[in-house]
Amino acid sequence: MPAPSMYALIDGNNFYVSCERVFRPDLNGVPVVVLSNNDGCAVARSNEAKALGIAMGAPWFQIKHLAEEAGLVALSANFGLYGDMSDRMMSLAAGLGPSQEIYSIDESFRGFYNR
Amino acid sequence: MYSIIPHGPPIPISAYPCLLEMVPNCVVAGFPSPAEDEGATRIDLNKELVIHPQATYVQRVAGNSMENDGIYDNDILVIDKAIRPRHNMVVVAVVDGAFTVKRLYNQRGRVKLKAANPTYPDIVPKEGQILEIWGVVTNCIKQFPSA
Repeated sequence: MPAPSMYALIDGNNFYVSCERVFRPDLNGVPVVVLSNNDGCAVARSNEAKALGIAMGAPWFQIKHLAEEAGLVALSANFGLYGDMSDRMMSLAAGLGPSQEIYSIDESFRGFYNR
Repeated sequence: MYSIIPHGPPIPISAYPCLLEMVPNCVVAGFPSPAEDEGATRIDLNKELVIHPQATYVQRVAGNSMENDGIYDNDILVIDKAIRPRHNMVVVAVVDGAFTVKRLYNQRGRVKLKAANPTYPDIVPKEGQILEIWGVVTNCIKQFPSA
């Protein structure tokens, strides 16, 4: 197999939040965070939540006040959902050609070959 | 006459076990059964009902706004997000942040969502309002009480 002429990195934006928004269209445009196990800290943030200054991994107790003050919506993680959406995405990306390397739940590398 | 096969120390072909499909019949000498090759595959509802598996989801119906189309409260809809929505298709749309199942009307530049129940008004997008079609309904599954 010759070396690919180009690599692509396919990455889901704000992945956990985006997965939730597929089934919660009312959360579009709203600041949303997905919390880690035990609702410990923010492991995904929508762009609106990032604009509020919430850092990746911010502990929930520190940002809790934004729920009342800025309409922040916090969701407990639903890993079964994210895993399934990831499978769908990776399966579609795999169909683009012969080589794929899945890097994480929302990232994969694809090689493209000049014919 | 004979090819020379270079040989060295034996190397394993595969480090992983290789699963082989079990042949259902034992191998006997004699005339094989013609039924052997016609192994029946069962009807698979996934294959029958799902066109684009990676883009297909299932939702349960609430309400009676589509009863005249045979879609009743508590039915299960199979929804395909990879089909282009066209006039007269039953679709799941997002209206004011909520899902609704309706029939899509899209003729001569006019777009609206029609219920299949005369007590429900058409949903007509206002000026500048975005009408989002979430997916196209390909199947409606009705389940009857079995206990």
